[in-house]
Amino acid sequence: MQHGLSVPATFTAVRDLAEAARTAISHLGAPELWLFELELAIVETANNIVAHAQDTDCGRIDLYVSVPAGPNGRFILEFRASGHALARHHLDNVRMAPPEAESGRGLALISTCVDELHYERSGEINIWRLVKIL
Amino acid sequence: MIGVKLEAGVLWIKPYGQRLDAAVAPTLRAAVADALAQRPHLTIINAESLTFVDSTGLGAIVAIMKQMDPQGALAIAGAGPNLKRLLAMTGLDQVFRLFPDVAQAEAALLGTAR
Repeated sequence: MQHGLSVPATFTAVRDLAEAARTAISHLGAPELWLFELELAIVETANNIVAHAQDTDCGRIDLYVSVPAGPNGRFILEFRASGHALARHHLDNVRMAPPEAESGRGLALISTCVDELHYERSGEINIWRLVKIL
Repeated sequence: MIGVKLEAGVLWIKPYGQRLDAAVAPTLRAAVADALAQRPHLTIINAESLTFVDSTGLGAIVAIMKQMDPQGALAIAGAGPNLKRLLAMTGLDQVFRLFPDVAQAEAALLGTAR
């Protein structure tokens, strides 16, 4: 089953992405902590797009969700947004920021919350693909 | 909306919404700015209403801690399972003092039995 949603690239609209993903998977009875980790991964990915990738104030984030048919399946999230490319070295050695850091935890949290994290660029479009196994 | 009270060197913070995320974090920072200029010795955050916190919200809490009296402490009271999970993932459960509720935080940190 696949779902698609497009929202403005704003921090407030990021919440709609998380809500859509929760709704898409609600029938599978996933544990609350699993759902929280999924939501956190979605929010942190989208926040990164809003904060770092956007080069205009009127960009959008497109999210495609592939929901497994039943338990033990792969929940796949694909984010597409135009903007600046991610420097690859950021994905090579992801570490949690030190306690005194006020930022920089997003990528490490995403990596912790999902089973697979992929990034690629297609023309001017950044594509993030997250896989979380239920 | 975020409730803020500074009294005798103690800063109480209570978010009234369910989310402390990138959309809300600037509001938190603005709400506590004047109080933090007084360098409070203790901050107690009532997290009972929070069901979701992201790294930006967490960063705002770290910023609060860094603007306090360096000899002081920041406590989070009433953190739910989701916030506890986030604090564990980031290692901040070893930095902030965690209490089941505000009453126990106050009793432990202020010596006020209720």
